[in-house]
Amino acid sequence: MITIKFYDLCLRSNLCGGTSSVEELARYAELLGYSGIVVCDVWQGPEKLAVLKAELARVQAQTKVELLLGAEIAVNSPSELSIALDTVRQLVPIVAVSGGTFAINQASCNDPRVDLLLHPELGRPDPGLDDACIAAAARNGVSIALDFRQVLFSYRKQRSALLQRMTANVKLAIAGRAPLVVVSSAQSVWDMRDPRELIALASVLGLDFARSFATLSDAPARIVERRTGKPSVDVEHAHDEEKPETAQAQEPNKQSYDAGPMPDMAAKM
Amino acid sequence: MIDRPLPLNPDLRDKRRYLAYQVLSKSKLDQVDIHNAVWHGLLNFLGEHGSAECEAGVVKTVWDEAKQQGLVRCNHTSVERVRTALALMQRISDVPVLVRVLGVSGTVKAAQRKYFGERDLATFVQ
Repeated sequence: MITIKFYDLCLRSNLCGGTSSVEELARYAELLGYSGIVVCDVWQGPEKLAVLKAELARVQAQTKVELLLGAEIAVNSPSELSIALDTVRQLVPIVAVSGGTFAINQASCNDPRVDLLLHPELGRPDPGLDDACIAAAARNGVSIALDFRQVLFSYRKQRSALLQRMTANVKLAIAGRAPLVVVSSAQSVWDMRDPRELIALASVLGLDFARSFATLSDAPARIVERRTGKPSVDVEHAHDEEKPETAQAQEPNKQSYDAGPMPDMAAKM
Repeated sequence: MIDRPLPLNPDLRDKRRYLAYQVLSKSKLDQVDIHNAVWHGLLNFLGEHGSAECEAGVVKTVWDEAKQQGLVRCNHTSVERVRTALALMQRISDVPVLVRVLGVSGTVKAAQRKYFGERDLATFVQ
């Protein structure tokens, strides 16, 4: 039986523009089969972060899903990014940068303190990255994030153009061996999706099946391991491990694909 | 006298897959609305030609009203595309929804057994 841990590295709570509480996000993440989520609110100062940290600690006691603290930095220039990183890097384990402008994309790829570069193609007529950026990202361990929410809330012509640019970024990342992750960027529980659905998006964007799986399991697990020091699951050797039948019942947040029908979640809501 | 042609030979037929999906929503939704929304989602993401290529379609005969579960058909090479199309549905009748695929099956019968809790005579006796 294959058991893989899935992580969603970017969710936004109601403490910062979202509509669902940390508690709701954690409950849905558990139901959908995630092992861990990162609540990545936009950086607004240490006071807001302290509130989120306290909320995460409170909810962590009630759920089996690993809740991690993150921060999304949204700035307009590389100098502001550098200043923000000086502070944020010491306070949170996962740091994401909201991309879009080429200067920010470039600066993020060149800074090893950044974990995730979110939607580098946002609002641009081009993919927002080039070979040099991808090479720097690969060197510095900066993951390029494919943002599901951008696809979910775009339509027709806009969605078509977005998918084209995301496909171009995927091709660049494969060629340059930069890490890729898929994030839901959910601001509500209704924007969250099953890990397998996000993997399907990665597959549609041009990744092969193994790489698609890695975007939600292996690559995020490496980031979490690197930043928190906690060991992540060994995905490559998960197939070899002989686990007893009861292992699934003891650890419900590890998803199995031959487990039969899922529980009636509508009744639990 | 049956007024229809013989079925295609197995080597000419495409291998079909059936995706069992569940719609999670704040309030109960109508079956017709969900089926229309699924078709709309498939056509939106795949297009008319893409839907035809995927042999995509909604199986209207299989539906679980209580759990809001249904089946979508496609060929075996397009499972990921159809799965993505379902994931990109976000509202049905102005109600926010979360569509998830419960699993993939090769026949309607197996899908009913695995995901809709239907039992045949053999399992019923046990």
